[in-house]
Amino acid sequence: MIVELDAIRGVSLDTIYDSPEGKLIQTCIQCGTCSGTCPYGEYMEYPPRRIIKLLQHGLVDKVFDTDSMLKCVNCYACMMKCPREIHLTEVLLQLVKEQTVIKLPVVPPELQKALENNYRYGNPMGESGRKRANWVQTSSVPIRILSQNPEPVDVLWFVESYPAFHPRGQDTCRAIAKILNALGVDFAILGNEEKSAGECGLLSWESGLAEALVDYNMAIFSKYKFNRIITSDPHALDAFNFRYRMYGFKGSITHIVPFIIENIDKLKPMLHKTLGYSVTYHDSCCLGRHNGYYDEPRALLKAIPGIKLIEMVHNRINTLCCGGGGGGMWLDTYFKSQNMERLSDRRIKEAIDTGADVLAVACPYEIPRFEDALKVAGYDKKMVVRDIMELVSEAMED
Amino acid sequence: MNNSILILIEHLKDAIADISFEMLGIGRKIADSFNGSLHAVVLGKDINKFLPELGIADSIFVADDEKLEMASPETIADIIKSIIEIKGISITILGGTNTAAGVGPILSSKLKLPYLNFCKNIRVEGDNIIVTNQLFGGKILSDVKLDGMKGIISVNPGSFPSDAGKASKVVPVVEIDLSQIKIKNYFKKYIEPEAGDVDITKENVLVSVGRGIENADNLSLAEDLIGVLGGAISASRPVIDQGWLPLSRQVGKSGMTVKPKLYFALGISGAPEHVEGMKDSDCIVAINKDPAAPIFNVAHYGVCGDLLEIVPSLTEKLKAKKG
Repeated sequence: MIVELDAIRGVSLDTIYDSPEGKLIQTCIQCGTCSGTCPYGEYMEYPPRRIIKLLQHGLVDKVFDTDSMLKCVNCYACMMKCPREIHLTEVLLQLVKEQTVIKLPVVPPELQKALENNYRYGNPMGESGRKRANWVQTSSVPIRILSQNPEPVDVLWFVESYPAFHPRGQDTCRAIAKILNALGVDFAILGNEEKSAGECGLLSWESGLAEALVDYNMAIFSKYKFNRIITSDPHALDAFNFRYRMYGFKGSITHIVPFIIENIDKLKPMLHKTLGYSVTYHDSCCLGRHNGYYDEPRALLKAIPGIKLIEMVHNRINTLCCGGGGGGMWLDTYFKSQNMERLSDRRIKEAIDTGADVLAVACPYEIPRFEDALKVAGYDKKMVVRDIMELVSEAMED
Repeated sequence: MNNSILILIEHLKDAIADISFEMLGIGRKIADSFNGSLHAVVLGKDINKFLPELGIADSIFVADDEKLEMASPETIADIIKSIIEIKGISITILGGTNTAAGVGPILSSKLKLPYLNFCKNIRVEGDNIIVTNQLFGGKILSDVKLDGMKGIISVNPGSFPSDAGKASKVVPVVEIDLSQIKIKNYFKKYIEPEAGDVDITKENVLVSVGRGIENADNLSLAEDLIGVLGGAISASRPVIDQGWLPLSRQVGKSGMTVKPKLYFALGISGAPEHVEGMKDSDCIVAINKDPAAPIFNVAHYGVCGDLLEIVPSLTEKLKAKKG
């Protein structure tokens, strides 16, 4: 389903009809599935179906005068459900988004700051790039940093900004390091040389900034020899799998969950602690809907002794976005000012309704988003949010 | 006029801005230590009313003209340049404000004089003037010696006491000759921003409440504390989400970044998203029931206990102390 990259390279709104994607757009039957499945569709003056209609009539400029695309959280729901298989999230909506942000009278300051921070510091939170690898000192197992030891390595672990800097993300990192070490994986990280991969918001809003980060990280990759890249951030996975390939990236990239599943037979005997949790799993949009990893996270959770998996009402392809994608991570205040319910608040209610003790996630944005949503719902003492890797690591304890 | 100092007086809406008195105060001190003279320059419309307040200067240069009200940096720079050239001024001091921000660089490039920005302190050491200025947003302080005692200094507001610059005395007034000054841009009208809520980024004291406050009625505990301490109330996101306080009071990643002198975190756990917005406060006092709350990692003073008991008694104690 992921679009042929050659087909969209260099395509703009003016030239889209000359591309195969444009031909596909012309086949739209205006069924409205896209707008109906969009989690924020009801708040958009121009939801996806109307955008296509306007494009067909040469009136797409109208959309730029509204904040409709500011409300798109890149959740891939419209695209994955389109009966004509139009690559809405990947192509058309990206192009409309960039024009929207150019025409906006005021870019919401939180988003503006995140973009600037990425430009200046290589991470959205504005932390010093020289502190990116500081978390390594708190790891219980040794972690090799390539700039200090540039020997060829089998697996390059692309840590990404949220895991590297956010205290809860660092919890996940320590768990991953422990698991990789136990599995005997030959791995290393880029440390302070790494910068944000550039997905999530950046690709949609600032293609120039995204390109600068792509160029930077590609240059760093070329310094070292490794066989494959893993990451715990599905957004980075998407960036490498999709945008980086347009710029000639040829490496192999895997999310940490399917990577661990490859080694599940080796891992299982190490999971000796029975956890006794009832767990519900939130499918991340990028990992699940866009990359099709629905079974792997569940298989990994089921491999942990004593875990009972309960599904939420919306799961797998119907998963409900946490609202952090497409720059949504930095638009919480804006959404609130438009009287829109934050999607994490909407989703947490479904998680609470399962009666589970643990909400398991596989994306670094989701931990802070859902922990916050639990507080808003007044449910933070009854349910905890854990990355799957944290649960695996806990099961490895004696 | 050897070793003379010139101060650009700033005024807005019929009042002299405090920064002007700060500059006059330090200017007087420096001028006296060199047996030099201190001069002020006032531009704008109907400015004669300001002159009696500027008695600390030895003379005042004035240009009373409608077109000089809120003049553009180019115009101000041209006028100051003419004064410096005719009167042989050695040091010009400007305010590090929006009003004067553009003047210094223009003047510096036109007169080939050094320009020192973000100045926090000026002192005299022997025959030299040493200027301390902030670099990298205040992370680094640098001491700079002004070569040949000539230059332009722009001072950060709040760096010097303004009282030291206040004196009412009648001093000589010199009219500035505007015949050579070309005024390309001039001010037309002053538009006030719409009156909004309190700007929490400008408060010296913030009493911030989190979910530990339990309900909207308990906000009065924080208000009472503010009644004694001054400042304003702010909050973490859950409180704003409940609608107990408006969005303009939110501190954190999705709200405001604040740096008050004193920040109270009442019942705020200290999620990274909140800490991002307040960690640079000068003094952080946290009150929280949970001894493991991450807010204690950034707090300078922490009290582990129930804020509903502690805050009222703290307010009482402070009240008693204040008499």
